[in-house]
Amino acid sequence: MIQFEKVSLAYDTHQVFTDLNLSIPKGAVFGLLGPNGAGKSTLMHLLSGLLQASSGTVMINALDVKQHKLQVQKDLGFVPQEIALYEAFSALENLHFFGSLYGLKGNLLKERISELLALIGLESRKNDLLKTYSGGMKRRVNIAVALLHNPSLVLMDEPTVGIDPQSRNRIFEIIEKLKEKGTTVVYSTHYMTEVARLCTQIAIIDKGEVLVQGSLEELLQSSSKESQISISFQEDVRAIELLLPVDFYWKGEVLVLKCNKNEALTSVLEILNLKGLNIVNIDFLKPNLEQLFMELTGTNLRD
Amino acid sequence: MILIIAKKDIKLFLKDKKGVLLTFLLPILLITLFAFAFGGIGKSSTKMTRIKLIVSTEYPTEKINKVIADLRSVKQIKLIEKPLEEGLELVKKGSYVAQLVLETVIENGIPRLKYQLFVDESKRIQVGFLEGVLRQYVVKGKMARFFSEKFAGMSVKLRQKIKKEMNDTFQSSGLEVVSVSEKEVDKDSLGLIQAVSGTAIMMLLFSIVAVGGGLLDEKENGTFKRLITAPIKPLHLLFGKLVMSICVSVVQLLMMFLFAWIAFDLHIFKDVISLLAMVFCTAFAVSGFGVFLVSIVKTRQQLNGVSTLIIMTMSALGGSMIPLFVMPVFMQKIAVVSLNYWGIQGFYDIFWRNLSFIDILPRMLVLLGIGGVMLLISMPLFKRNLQELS
Repeated sequence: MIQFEKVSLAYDTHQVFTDLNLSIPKGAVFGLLGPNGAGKSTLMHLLSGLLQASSGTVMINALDVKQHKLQVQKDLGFVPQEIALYEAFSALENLHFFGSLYGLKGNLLKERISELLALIGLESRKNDLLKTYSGGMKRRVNIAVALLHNPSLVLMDEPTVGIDPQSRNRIFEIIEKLKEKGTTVVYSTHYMTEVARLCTQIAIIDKGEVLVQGSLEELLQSSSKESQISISFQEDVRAIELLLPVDFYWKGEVLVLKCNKNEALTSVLEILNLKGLNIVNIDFLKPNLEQLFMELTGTNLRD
Repeated sequence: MILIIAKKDIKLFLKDKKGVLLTFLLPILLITLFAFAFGGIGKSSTKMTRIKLIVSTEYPTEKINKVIADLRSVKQIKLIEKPLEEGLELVKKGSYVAQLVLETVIENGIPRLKYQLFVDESKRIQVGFLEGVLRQYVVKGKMARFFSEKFAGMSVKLRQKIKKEMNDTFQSSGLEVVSVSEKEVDKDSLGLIQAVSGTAIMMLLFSIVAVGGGLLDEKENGTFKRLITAPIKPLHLLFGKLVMSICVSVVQLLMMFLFAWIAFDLHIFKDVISLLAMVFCTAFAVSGFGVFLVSIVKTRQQLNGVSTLIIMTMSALGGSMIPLFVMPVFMQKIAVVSLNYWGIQGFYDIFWRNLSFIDILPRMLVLLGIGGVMLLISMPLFKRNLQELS
């Protein structure tokens, strides 16, 4: 269980968080969504002990991160945004070095390394220097390093940036396995599809504030965006004057109704029938995460 | 396009205030330093630095006491009276430049005063200066005696003319200069020790800059962030770098001395224990400097600026770039602030002065002290710098 209680943080004159409250249940795959500069990485840094809150408390499994930093870090795996590995080392050497930092040694370390090399699909390349790896391979090693000591909490800061679909898929599989094991994963990304696929809980944050939090379904239900129904006709009927009981607009030759009520749809269909229009298709459009994200964070470009 | 890029780079450069300061301060400091070393700045100073000279005698006579009293009035030297044995030991250890031993000898049935100057050859400039001052004194006394005995009634003008002509004859006599080095004086060997130890320490300092560079690499590639999210104390990272640096330094120094042995026949095996201990102490002091760099730099530009400034200054002052024995006396005094000085003098003690481990120990302790102080200063600075590095 992770708990942010009235957490405030300021850099020089810039206030990043003010009285932030957030709770992440144990075993959740928690998606952190937010535009650039929203505070996602800073939140990760507070959890990992890289940063300390100016006020308030960050608790992980009932331990205050500030007071029990080393104890918290022992059970925490951190996947930074950068490929934080030694390029002059092989994957094996990197895993060996970072594993040693967590007190792993001997056969236990060897076993964990071979398990993880198998998990990331790099057994055959384990002795090659990292600088000879592709971006996707490096990303996979970057994740493996954080999992060496079997942490109960894994922080992943945009772990799939700039990689090929195969590597991304393998990373998803790794996260699915962590989910099955009951490991808590805090996952920050810009990709809505990743969050929708992987996360059991989602928070959209912006300007240091949690705007919404909940499961995907809960978030979509909370959206003020209405469902829409699109109706396609056999011919172009835009010239025909329509008086409908719901708001509508034309998207090309397609009529889009801003409604999600079946009664409204029934009366619209009756009117269209009376006008003698030939309907060829009806689509029900539900609001998605991206729409919700844009609705909450706005469309202005961010730095 | 070139102008746009140049403008961007100038802006970036100006953003790093420390980098800017160092870029301009470094040449100014070095120019000042070299001006002092070679340009004779300070020569006209009314307060001349006095060289400490030990004076000893086993059998003080009235004449010897008068000589000592007269020498006290020579403004270029400061006399320190010590017993014969103790004085010689102090010169051997390099604590003093020379010891003047005064004794009465019988020559052709006539008692004569003998002046013996026991000198530390590694301090050539000061020895030369002392020799000059003392010869002048001895010659003056001898000539005065000669004229009063032989030409008591001669006119002053004629006396001066004869004195001028005879000066050379008197110059070469009266003061016997003896090196305190137990082996035969080999000036090439002294130069070799200077070259090897001086260069070795300076190069060691330059190579230790890599410690700071390594940390910046870790900052840039994100591994530092990963390191400090691991359950290790931040200071352990610093100590890790210290240990690495000591190991590299020890190996580097040993390689340099081995090379000097193979290539220049420097006798490095005469006191292996002292040599190893001295190598370790030098490595520790230099590594202390390395971790100090790690703790204060935040950018590569700062690292380059700070390290060049400190290394060049310490090397120039401490005798790595210019041998101490060719420097003015006041520069030799300033040299003690440089770790190069203590390192070089320590190696002189082993290879040139042939001192025992116990005698070299104080220099080793100074080096360990320098390293320790650097480390102590570095610890809070590193902690403070930690967040910016991550």
